[in-house]
Amino acid sequence: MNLDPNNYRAALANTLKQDADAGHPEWLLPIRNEALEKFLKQGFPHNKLENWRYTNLAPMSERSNASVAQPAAVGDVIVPVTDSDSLTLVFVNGMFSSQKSSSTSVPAKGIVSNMAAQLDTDGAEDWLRNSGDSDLAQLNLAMTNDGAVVQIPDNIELAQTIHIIFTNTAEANVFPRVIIRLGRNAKATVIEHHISNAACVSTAVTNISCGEGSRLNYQKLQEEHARSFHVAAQTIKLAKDSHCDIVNIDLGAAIARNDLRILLQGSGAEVGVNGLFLVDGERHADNHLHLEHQAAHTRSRAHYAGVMANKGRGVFNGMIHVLQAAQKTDAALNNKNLLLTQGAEIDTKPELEIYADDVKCAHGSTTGQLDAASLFYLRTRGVPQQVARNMLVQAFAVEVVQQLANESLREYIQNSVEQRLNELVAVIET
Amino acid sequence: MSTNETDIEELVAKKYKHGFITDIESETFEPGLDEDVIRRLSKLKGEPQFMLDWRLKSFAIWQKMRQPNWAKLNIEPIDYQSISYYSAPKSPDDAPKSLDEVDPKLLETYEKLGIPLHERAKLAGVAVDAVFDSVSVATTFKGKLNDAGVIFCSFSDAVKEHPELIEKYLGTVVPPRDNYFAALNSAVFSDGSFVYIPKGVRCPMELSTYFRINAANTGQFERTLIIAAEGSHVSYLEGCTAPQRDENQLHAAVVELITEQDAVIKYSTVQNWYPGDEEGKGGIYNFVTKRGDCRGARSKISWTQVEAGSAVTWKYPSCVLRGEGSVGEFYSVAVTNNYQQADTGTKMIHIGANTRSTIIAKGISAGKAQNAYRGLVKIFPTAKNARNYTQCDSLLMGDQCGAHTFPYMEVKEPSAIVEHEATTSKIAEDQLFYCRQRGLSEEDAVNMIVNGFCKDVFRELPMEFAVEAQALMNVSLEGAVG
Repeated sequence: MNLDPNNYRAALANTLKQDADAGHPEWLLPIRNEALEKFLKQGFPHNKLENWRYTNLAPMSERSNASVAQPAAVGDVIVPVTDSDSLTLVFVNGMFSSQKSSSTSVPAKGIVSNMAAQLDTDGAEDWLRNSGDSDLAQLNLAMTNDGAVVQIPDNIELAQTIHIIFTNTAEANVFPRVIIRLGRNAKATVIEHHISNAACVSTAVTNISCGEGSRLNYQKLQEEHARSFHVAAQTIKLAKDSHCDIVNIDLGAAIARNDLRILLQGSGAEVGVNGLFLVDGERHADNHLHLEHQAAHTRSRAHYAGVMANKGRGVFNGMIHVLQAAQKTDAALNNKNLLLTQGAEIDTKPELEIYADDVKCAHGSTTGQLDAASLFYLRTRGVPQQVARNMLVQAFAVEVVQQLANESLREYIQNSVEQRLNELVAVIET
Repeated sequence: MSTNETDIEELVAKKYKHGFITDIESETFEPGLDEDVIRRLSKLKGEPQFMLDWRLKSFAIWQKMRQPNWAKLNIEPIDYQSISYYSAPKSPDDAPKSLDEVDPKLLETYEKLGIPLHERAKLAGVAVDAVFDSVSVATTFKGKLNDAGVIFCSFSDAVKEHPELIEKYLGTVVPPRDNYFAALNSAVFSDGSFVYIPKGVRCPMELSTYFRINAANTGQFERTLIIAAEGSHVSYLEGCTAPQRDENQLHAAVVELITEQDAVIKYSTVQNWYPGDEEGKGGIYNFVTKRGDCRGARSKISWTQVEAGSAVTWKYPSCVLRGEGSVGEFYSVAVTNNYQQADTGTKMIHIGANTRSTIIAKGISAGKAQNAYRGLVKIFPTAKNARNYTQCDSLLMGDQCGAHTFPYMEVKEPSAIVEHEATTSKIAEDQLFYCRQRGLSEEDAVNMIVNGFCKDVFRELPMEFAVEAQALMNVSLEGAVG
């Protein structure tokens, strides 16, 4: 993959100019420069790298190379269902839209806002420095126009759902960024929602840290256009006794990739992850989950379900990594895959890397088609073949959808999953 | 845990029981590897031209390759030029025709290992083609096998006596360019075993070969080829122990198995080479390529291995399930202690329809050892109704060791069912407590639990190996409870 560095440097110059026009602080400049040079040095990840063995980003790199500097025109904006009382932040083609967003105010100097408006805040540097080392995070850091910041102070429980929407209407590159900081014993529900009606190229980064005893519901929904690329990296750090519930649903994009890295840093930290990916047509969805148990008495549960049809290809990689200090770790990971038609493919690799002895770790993975016995059971009850199939496929996926905390959103996603699955099952019959 | 620390220290400190060197004169090449060494080796063994050509071709391939580094192993760089590529016991001209003619010192070696060759052969009805530092020294039960039409001989003899079979099958399962170590082996392999079971024959006895590494600084490059023709059946046993030595020794073996229609090969290994001392000094580097090709319909290849020795193990016995309804099995116990490192597992490549495979892998890690399972299950779109079941369990003893699982599953056929399960844990305190309560010593209790943990694999071993394997397990893990 040949990158044209000039193309990217020109794009960066453009971004820096925008920074200056917007009066952004000066510390941003060296950070962006450094990040771009780092990215140019390593380039796009390729198939020779173990982590990218099954996902080829060549088509994305070409598009990224060609259109990185293109300004995005705003077209028809689609905004998904939101609760009337939820705090919504809407970004159109990477830029914050105050019109579409709801007014947000958080008690005790908390922040729920777009990042660009808050760069003068103490600690804002940290939002941009702390980008992790994932493969495309540097590119995001160099180019990001805006993003969402959620900062909940100690002992504050936010009742409303925070709904962050990145909606794209143009065939352009976008670099969404989400920062979530929960103070001690804080509590919040955050939904990160990517949706587009044009073939965009989205390089997203999310950084989350949960303070001691805090509780976070974090849900990421991806419904990008069928010809778009979506590559996301999320890092979640969990302090002592914090608890995080995660739902990750991939329904769209031509190539979707999620790098979800969860670091259980304090004892008693707990995380639950539920993932669902539907790949049909010629879609490709790759979910990498890395659970790192760094402290004793930490607990993780992960469940990923994949449905593949037509020429869809699913990839799952789930690593449970237990460091030597993390005695009494309790970790379990499960990946179930359904191959509905000939031509579909799943490449799955659940991994264990364990350096502590007093632990309980397990993983499991199954791949197959619909269970013949269950189908037969339904048929004996007079359920027609296609309805029976449909019921079983829906049941397989719905398990994950039901983990969504927000009711109206759950209904919305369930509807779109149901509709997609109906189409898939109909394909099997023909 | 309430373990008596001093007991453990004492037990862990136990020396390798099979550490000794038999003092016999050897004819050995000076260290180094180039085309001339290969020509000399080939000439010395009186090989036909095609064999030499094949070796040279492999050598050319090897020179263009680089040592792989993807395994979870920490290996000191190997200087391939400092290794001697041939070593044979003296006087190869008058090779022994019966046990009486065998060098008494060799027999003594086997005695020390607890394998009285003649007695064992008689009692158990096992023919032993004992490979001692690369050259076959004793072959028994030849007559009985001859009557059945079975060819069982050293690889060198097979090259001379059955060149047409060698030329036809050699490298068809593991071609020289398969990987770095296979290429090296193809260029310089010294000897090994050759087995051909003709159509419809059930081999009248278990075949076994004992590989030993004896002379200092001698790389051992075994090559085994087993062909089971239509409807035949054979069970092959391979066992290894090696004397104690300070320098790392390199071992790069290749095993090729071929089953035609309805044929069955059962291949069992107990590997107990020198693992290095408590400081991680010395020990064998074991890089093995083992692969079976189920060419015929309804054929079956079953691998069973107990890996207890070696400083470094890099080994993935695999099955290519080509024939319709063919079956692949892999049963493995890998034990690592002190500074041992093992990266082992299997590949099951499902190509034919209705193919089935089972993988049971048990890893036990103690001391400062690292033990990894690495496996691949691949289902091609042609493998309708293929079925795989994989179970990997790891047991950790002590907080300095590591246990890792890297299973790859690539499925391209919707009618296939692939299942994988893995767990990692330590010996449960309640199990230990239960045994202690019944008056068992800590040591016995651990042995009992470990043997129970490995039972699924041990019961796949032939009787005499099962006994040896259990004893080996107890020796390898003595006191490693933490």
